Amino acid sequence: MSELILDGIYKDFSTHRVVDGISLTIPQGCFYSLLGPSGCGKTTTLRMIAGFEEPDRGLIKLNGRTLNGMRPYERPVTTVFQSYALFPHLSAAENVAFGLRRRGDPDTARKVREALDLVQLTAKADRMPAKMSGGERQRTALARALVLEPELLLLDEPLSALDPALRKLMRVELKELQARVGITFLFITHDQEEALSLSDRIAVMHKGRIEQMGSPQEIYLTPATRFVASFLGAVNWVGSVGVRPELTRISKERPEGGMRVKEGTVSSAMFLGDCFRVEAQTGEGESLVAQIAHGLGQFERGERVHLWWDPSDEMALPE
Amino acid sequence: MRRLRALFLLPAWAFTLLLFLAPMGIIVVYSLRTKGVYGGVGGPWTIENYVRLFDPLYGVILLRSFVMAGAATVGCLVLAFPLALYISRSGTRKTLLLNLVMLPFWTSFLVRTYAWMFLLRDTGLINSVLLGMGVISEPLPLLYNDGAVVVGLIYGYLPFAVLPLYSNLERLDRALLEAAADLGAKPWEAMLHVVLPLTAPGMRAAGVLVFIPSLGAYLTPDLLGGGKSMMIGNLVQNQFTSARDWPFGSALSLALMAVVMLLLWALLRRDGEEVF
Repeated sequence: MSELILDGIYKDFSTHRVVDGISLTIPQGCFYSLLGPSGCGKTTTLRMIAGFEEPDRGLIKLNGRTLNGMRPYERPVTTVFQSYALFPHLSAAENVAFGLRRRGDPDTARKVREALDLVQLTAKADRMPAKMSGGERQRTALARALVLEPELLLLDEPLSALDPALRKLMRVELKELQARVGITFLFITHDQEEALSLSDRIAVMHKGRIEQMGSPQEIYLTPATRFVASFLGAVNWVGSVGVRPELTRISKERPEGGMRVKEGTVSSAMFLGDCFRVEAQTGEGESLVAQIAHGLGQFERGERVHLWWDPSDEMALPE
Repeated sequence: MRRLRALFLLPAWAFTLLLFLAPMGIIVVYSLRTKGVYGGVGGPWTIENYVRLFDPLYGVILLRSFVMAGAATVGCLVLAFPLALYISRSGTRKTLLLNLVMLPFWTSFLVRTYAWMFLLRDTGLINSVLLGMGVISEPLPLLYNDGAVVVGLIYGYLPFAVLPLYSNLERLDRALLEAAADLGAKPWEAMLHVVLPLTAPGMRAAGVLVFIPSLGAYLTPDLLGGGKSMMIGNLVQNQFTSARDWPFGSALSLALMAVVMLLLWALLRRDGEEVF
């Protein structure tokens, strides 16, 4: 029974239904992501678990205990906020100590030290939030939430405020940190790359509902809906069938048998560093993209080409 | 561009020089003279007026002024904080409520102080009601004492405490309160450990805005304190009117100003602002 269960959660803001019947189970120790565009209800879902909002209907259970009706300060759940919400009048160490002090924990000093150590902030313990870099703020927020040893850690787009290089680095650190502490992470994000690379399981949300739940591979390779397919990456749509650009090949000659083939004219060819991106228009008015490795040929605008792929790579998703 | 800037500053400079700094200079000069036989100034230059400031007689009045202004400041902060907190969370009604706070400024301070006299005097509203209900048999001495003056000061300067506290609380990130709750702080703990420390600048500003005019107040102690509750403002006024000792009045008001400036400097320095 070590898990978070959401059972039929609904939430309206005035007349607008923000969360429209969400049910999911997150096993203990899992890195679980709620992935979706802004306004899909993922943040509201997180706020209901933290206790900042109450669901209109539905149950929230954590390790067998019902959280509904519990005040945020009573819930064994902590949050890393999108803006970090560090207390500006407290140093890194004092921020981390905040929750322990409210509990009157006699071991505060040692736990703060260990938490700062965990996020490699020991040298910055006395730094005030205003003097911290984005990464330091994020680590402080993480340490502050983790030091209370919550049964569940909620992370509300914690990487979105960082610059891209730091974001990639923190992504790796976050994953390692979760593995080390073994606490269940519920990670909210609109960045599909982040969700794919970090998560054990992902739930893709759209308009207040869960469109699909599964492992990153399942969701990317066998999307249940067109929305999921498009949200997780680029798709070439040919009628009711979609195929990923990186699984699409391109050549001047017609390929061997057994492949699905479309003929077209190159409309753009771009070098992206790690690959080439070639776009071609077919006679039927479809615009197809092939992402190909170096050495698989050079293509020029206006050239006639064949685009092809293995039919087993197709995603059958009727509109 | 530079010349244009000078041109734009000219009216304010001229106004300040002529109408503020010049009279100040006159006061400084007066404070170093002796009082004339029929009032006004005359006689030789002297520092006698400043020596007189240390007379225990005046020390008592100065001390009393500090205590009363301090009491009024504490009273204003205690009343203003919950009010400002309430207004800052009132959503669309904020503007209405702020206007209500400032509503008293639409009428004369003198008239409002007289209204307090009608409320507090022996035959006033409070005493009449209490007497009528039989709660008391003698009218309570509500008027013409230090308490009446402090109440009057609190009433008069409460808006000056509400406004800076409101603007401070308004800017307070609500996510910080959620973070506090998330980390296990009960609402009163969040108030004590997050909201209060973060409203310290607003508290200081509010305190200064109430304390300084309270310290120099003369209308409120004059009307609500009667002759019994003299503050330094009344003393200064007396020197210029009944006592006809302009040099000593000048020295007194300069001393008051020096004290206020020292206080301001000490308080605002902590906000890391350039004060002077």
